[in-house]
Amino acid sequence: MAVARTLRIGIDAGGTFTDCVAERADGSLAFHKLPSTPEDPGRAVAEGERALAGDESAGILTHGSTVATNAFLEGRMGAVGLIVNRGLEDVLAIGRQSRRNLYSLAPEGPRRLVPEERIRGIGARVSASGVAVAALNPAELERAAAELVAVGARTIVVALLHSARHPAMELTARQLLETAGYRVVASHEVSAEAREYERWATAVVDAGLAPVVSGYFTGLGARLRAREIRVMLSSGGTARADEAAARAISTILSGPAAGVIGARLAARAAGFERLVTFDMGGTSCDVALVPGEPVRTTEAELDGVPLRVPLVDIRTVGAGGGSVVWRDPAGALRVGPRSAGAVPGPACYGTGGSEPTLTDAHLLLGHLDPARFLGGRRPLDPALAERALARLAAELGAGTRETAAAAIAIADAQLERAVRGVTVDRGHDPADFTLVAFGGAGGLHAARLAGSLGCRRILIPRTAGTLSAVGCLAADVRRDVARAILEPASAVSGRSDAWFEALEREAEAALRSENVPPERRKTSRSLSMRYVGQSYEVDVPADGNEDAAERFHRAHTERYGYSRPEAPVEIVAARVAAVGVGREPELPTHRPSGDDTPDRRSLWLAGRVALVEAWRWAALHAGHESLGPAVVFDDHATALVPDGWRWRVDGRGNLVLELAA
Amino acid sequence: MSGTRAAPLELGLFHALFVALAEEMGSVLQRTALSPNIVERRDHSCAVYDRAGRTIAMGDHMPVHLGSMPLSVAAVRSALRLGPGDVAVVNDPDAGGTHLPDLTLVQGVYLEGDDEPAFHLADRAHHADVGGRTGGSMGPATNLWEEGVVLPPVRLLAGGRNVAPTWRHVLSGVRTPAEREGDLAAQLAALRTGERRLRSLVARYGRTKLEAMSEELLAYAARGVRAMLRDVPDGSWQFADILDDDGVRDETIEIRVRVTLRGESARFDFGGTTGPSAGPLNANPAIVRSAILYAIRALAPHDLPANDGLLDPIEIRVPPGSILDPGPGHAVAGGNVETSQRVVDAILGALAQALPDRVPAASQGTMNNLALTGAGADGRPFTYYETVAGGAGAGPGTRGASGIHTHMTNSRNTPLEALERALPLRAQRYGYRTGSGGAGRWPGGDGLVREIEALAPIEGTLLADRRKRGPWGLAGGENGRVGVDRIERAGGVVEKLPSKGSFSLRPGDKLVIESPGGGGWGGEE
Repeated sequence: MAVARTLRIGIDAGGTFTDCVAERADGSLAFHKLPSTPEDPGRAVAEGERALAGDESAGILTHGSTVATNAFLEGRMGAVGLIVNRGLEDVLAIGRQSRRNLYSLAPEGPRRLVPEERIRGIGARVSASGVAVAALNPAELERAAAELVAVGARTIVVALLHSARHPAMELTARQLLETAGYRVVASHEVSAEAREYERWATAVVDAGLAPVVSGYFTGLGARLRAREIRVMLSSGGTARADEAAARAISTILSGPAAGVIGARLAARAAGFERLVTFDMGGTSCDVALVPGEPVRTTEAELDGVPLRVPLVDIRTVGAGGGSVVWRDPAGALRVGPRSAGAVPGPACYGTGGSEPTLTDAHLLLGHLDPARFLGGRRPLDPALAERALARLAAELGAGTRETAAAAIAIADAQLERAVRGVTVDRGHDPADFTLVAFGGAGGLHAARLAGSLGCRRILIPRTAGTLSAVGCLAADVRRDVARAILEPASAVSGRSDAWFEALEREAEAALRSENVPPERRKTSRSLSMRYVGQSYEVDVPADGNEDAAERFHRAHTERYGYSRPEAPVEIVAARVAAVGVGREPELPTHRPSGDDTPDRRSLWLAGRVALVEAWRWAALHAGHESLGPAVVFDDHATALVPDGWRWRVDGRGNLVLELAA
Repeated sequence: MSGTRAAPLELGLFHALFVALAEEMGSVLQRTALSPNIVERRDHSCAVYDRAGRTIAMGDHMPVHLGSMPLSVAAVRSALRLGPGDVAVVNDPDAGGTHLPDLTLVQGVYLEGDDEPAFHLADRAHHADVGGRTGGSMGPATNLWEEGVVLPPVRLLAGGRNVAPTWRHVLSGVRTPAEREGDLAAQLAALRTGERRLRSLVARYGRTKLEAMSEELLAYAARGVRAMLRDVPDGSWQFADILDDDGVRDETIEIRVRVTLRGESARFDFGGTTGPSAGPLNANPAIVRSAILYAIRALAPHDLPANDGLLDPIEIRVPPGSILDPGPGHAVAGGNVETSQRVVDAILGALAQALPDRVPAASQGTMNNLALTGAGADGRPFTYYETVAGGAGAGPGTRGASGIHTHMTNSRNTPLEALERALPLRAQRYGYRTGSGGAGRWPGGDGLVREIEALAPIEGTLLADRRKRGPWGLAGGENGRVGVDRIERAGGVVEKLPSKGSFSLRPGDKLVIESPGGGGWGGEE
């Protein structure tokens, strides 16, 4: 009963590869992977579309992009002018007055987001209770904006104290300037955060990214054949490109969010619901908790800059295949945080790198197939890996293989800390979750990591190499809106409906403009709450069936092990998420190809050499089941199954590892 | 102690495991506490100790706690026999405390079959008020009892249950008992987290291994310091720096140090330092240890583990009867926050002679401690404490950063929106104090101006320094400007404030704190 569908394409442009997937009219999926073109990311995206769409009529293309992330990290942002309350012109530069490195003789403060000459103070002022203690003077405001434009500002950010809770004055300022012809962003419209530095910084980053992001998507529109271009948002949803460009900061973690959504799709199709996603590539590793829905946060930071907008809560650690293995002057073996990157790359690439990396360690221990790395495009030289590691081992007075194994164990400890950060630190037991491992190195570390966390099950999706692209196809349309409240929970009864209804109207309007039919719209309400005096909130669903404070006490106990039922509770913000439920692609059934007899290789596993079966993933039959130790090779991923784990291949070709016994 | 073949390979792993444990504790404490000092300003530390009470690992929180917390652990161990489920609380400066608002909780972790703890855990947090003469417990005082409730090591929990008399004693002696109770609950939650993690490490690696690796980690830190000392020239250098006064007697206080570097060892001798302070500037050897550890970690070419091994190659001489070891009963509120900064300045001043191409000029050298009390809009009393950052000293090749906390503290500011919501205050200005950094080829960083208007009657205390002599420049760079503090009365009268003292604000009065700039480096071309 296949219904003819529009061609849908998902493309995730990562640092190394651009991954593409197409859902054809009959629902079947086609995959394509090509090298990224970082100097012009759109080129690879356009090539990917051409390769998959061919002559088919143009459809919808959803794009996971690192354009915003890179522009932010490299400081390539549009010139922003900032208008704040007089006397507070330096607040953005001071930040929280702390230094980034505790033990540095040349301490540094936060990154400077707006230069001094592009900041102006005006006499307007609202008190904490919302009283205008100094009125907004339109002439002064416009003069400030004109001066900022004269010194090069392209966008004006209006950032006033208490605007999250009392937005009226900031709103008026924004409207006045817009009427006068300026491009303007009001801080409270970007973030509901009730701390001035964090909200202002978020708004400034949004305004700075806007021209970069909109320029990129406009250019892309001209190159692509798709009739609609959509963007993967950091929240795990999607928006039409023009909508996303209007709130550019919402795309800042676009790519990693696509990975989480793709992992969730693959895991659900395999029958698993509660997940820890674990994406380990060449330079870093992204970890997220998905207890059904991905956990979201409004407390993220990137490069020390607060980003107070809803994001999939992804913890990143600087441990990847390229992480350098080294010895410090006090004689200890260390891993990272420096990465050999793609240039000079791991020693075994033979491209000039002489320092050993995690990839070299795995190669030396037989965990990688030198001939098949990256589909044979990058043959590895085990002799170079051995030379680099042997030199280090000699300095340490240890064996070469022992050194390689110890480096992997150190990386595992760093990965474990990241996973604990998203599970145990939030009151979740990893044993209740399935670890979904992907990225080139995910399958190499998954079993050891799961073992030390007490996770009993691992899923390594067959589509591990293109999971982020699949995530682009699978994501819902999404719009998050919020309003700062900052009132005692006991004082708001009855009024919360009015807040929620206003937020729902705003969110629904966004879905309407995205042409989401009413039957596919879904909204959910939540309240961010805390004990009076705390500065971290717990998000509690607010469906009206139960007292919000009760729910908060329980959530607090779950997360932190105690609650204080007698203590006053405060509502920090009301939030609404509006979702246009998407159509999830059907992942293909597995069609094995080639000879499925394993060869035997000696691998170094768990402290000794073992002769293990080495399988070709593509040749394995669905239903195949056996016990570790084993290694499964594929073009873009390798899975290592230690002793004590049972593994099988499911109908979609996924590897499922379960702790035996 | 060291030398097993596997050790170099496993040090990194076990270091990561122990640090992760301390960081997990810190994350729980910070997220569940109530006091703005802890949740917003992160004035807290968590650490794990071995059987003998030596620090194995500490989260990177507050440098001033690193050298002092183990002395609190030691004091608890010698005063009490901590049984399973017991948690002790201590803040007595004579028991490894720093100043009274820092409450330290210590517990032992018993492993199966033992009759003494195999490990210890501790966390320390700066509470917003612990009683005493002035709200915030940081005001001018002439003896310890004026500063708040003094807690020698006592049990807060026994066998896992609250010890009611201790709780009553602590909570009845403070201005904001509900907040204290919440913060102590958070400190206990952090200890529980630490214990759970430690037990899972024991289950995974075995106690023998963990205990052996603890030893290895101590030896590793000591090797790191020795390697660093080997690379600096031998010699002996002296330096003296001053504190303006102690708020009671109008006399400068001199911190004098002779640093002797020889081969792989170092000696820090504070002989010649001024005697006990009649005001609240008295420090203790725990604080001196922290200051030395800070300087060593800052000079090390790479990150060294924060454990007790760092002090192995180091000899410290603090003359008893000096302001750095005054004996019991002296007021200490400013020893931790002010004198500690000057101890670092003195140490760096001596080391700058040994390493002129590395050591920067003096930074602001004060934390500008401000404590305010009054009644909030709801009539309930509040106490509020914060510090104000200043200029960092310039170094050979680097300008000093402006408006940043340096050396012994890294506590964050309170957001103005949070400040105005909670207290009857209005911020008029928060910005750089332009031109306050010392001139030089590399200029020192600028201090800050924090100007707040009272909307209701407020009592305040200021504890600050570098109001008489600015932070020193180096190699021809000029000194940073001294700090200046004043009240601009509603009627227009301006009153200059002493650097240490109490004041009253009436509605409409403005309090202005201008923090010092950092010293410059090198003559201007």
